[in-house]
Amino acid sequence: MKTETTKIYTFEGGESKYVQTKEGWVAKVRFLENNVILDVGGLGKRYGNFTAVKNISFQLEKGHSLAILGPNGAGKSTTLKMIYATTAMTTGHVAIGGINVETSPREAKRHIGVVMQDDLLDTSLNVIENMIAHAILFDISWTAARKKADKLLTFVGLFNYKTKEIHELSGGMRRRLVLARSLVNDPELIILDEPTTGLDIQSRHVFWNRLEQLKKQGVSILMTSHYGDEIERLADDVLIIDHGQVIASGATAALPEKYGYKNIEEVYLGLTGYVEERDEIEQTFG
Amino acid sequence: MKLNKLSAKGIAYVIERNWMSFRKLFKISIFPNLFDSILYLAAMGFGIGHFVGQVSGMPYLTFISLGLVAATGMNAANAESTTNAYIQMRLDKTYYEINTSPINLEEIIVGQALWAGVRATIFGSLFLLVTFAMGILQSWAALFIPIILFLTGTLFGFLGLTFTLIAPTRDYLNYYSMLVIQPMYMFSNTFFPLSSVAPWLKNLGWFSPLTHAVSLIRQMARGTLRSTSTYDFIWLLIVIIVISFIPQCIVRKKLNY
Repeated sequence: MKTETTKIYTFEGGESKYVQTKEGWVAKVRFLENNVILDVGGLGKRYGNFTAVKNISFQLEKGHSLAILGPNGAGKSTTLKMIYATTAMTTGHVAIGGINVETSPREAKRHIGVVMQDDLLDTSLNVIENMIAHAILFDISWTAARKKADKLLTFVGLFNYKTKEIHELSGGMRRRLVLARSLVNDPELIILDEPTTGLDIQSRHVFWNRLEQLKKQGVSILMTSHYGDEIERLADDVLIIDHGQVIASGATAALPEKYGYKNIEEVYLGLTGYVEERDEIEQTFG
Repeated sequence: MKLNKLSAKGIAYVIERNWMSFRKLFKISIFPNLFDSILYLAAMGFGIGHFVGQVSGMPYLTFISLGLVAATGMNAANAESTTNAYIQMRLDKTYYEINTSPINLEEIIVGQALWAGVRATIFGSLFLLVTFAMGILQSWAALFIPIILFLTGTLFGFLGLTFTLIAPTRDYLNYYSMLVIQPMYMFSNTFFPLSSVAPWLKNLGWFSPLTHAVSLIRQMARGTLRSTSTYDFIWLLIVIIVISFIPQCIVRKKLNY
C-alpha cells in the first residue's frame, strides 16, 4: 500500500499541511478552502551573521490586499523576493495558491505578477515588445501575447504609446507599463515593491486607480510602501516591520485606534520611535 | 550543490527574447562584429600574405581567411557573453526581470550561452560569405561550417559567462579579454601554423578551443576532412558539456538580486 508523505509546518497563528506529489510538496485543503492565496509562515533570511528577516507570518485572501510598511533596510524587499522566489529563504515557508514556492517555484510563479522597485524595462525594445518579451516567458504564443498586450496597454492608458521607445516614456508611464507587464499571465496575486515611489501626485492616483480596479476583479495585492496615504487607500491589512521583524499588524482601518494614533503614518512613526524623537525636538526648539 | 531543473522551453524562450532585441540592432551590429576580422584580413592576408608563400599546403590568404572565420565566431560570442551579458546581469538587470517569470537562472545562463552560439553562427557565417566571394571555399562540406561556429560560440558563451559572473566590476572583463581571449586569438592556428612555434607553445595552443574550431573549419572549407577530424569535434563537445556546469553552479550565488 502506498503511504502518503506529509509535512506539517507550524508557525505563529496556525499550521499548514503539505503532501508530497510528483511535482513536489503541495499544500492541501487549508488554503483553497479558506480562500487563502498567499500563506507565509515563519519566514526568515540570514546573510552570514546578519538577520535580514525574522519569523514573518501572514496570510492573504483572494481579492484582498496587504501592505508591508517599514523603514529603509527593514527587510521589506527581501521578504517580497523570498515570496516571489528570486531569493532563497533561510527559514519558514511560502505557499501561493497552495503551491510551495521553495519546492515548486516554476509553478508558483505562474500565478503571480511582480512589479519590482526598479522598472527593469528592456530599453532595446519598445513598449509592446517589452510586453510580448515578458509574455513569451509564460508560454504565451505571440498572437495571444499581442492581443493581451493591446488589452493591458489600454487598461493602463498606454495603448497609443505602444510603438514608443522606453526612453520616450515619463516615469509614471514606465511604472504603468511595468504594471501592465506584470499582468500578462493573468495573475491571481500581484506583488508590488514600492510601486509609486518617485512618481508625481497625478501618476500615483492613476496607478492607485488601476490597482483598485484589479482588486475589484478579484486580484490579490501584496505591496510594500513608504506612504501612509497609499496604504490607507489600497490595503485592507497592514504589516509594520522594523529590523526584519513584525512590530504591528492588523486591519488598516483599525490599527490607528488600537495604538492611539490618528492614522497609519503616525502608527508607523510612533512604533519605530520617531514620534517621541520629533516631540522632543519640538519641545527643545519650539 | 543542487541545480534547478532545465526546461527546453524555458531555454528557448530566453533565446527568443534575445532574438527580439537582436533583430532590431542587427544592422548596426554587423560592422563592429566584422570590422576586426576584415582589418586582419586586409593587413595580414593581403598585406603580409603578399610576401608569404604556401602555408600548411595552401596560400597564406586562404590559411588566414579560414582561421578568421572561426575567430569571428569566437569574438561575436565573447562580446555577447561578456559585455552584453554584464549589462543584462548587473546594469539593466534583465536576468532578474526574467527570473520573476517561471524561467530559472540556470535556464537563463544556458539560453544565453546558446544565444552566444547563434550570434557566432550569424557573424561567422557572414565572414564565411566573404571567403566564398573570394573563391576560397572548395568543398560542399563548407555548408556545415555554421555548425562548428555554433559549437564554438556556445563554448565561448559558457566561458565568457563564467568570467562575467565572477567579475566584480565591468573593468575586470578587460582582463579576461586580454589574458584569455587575445592569446587564443593569436595562438590557435589562426594566423600561423602552431607547428612552427616552440613545442611548449604548440602544446598550450592545443588546449585552446579555437585551435580545434579552426582546424575543422579549414578542413571543411577545403574538403580535406579526415577521420582524425572527429577528435576535434568530440573535443569541442566535451569541453562544452564540462564548462557548461560552471556558470550554472555559480549563478545563484553570484546573482543575488
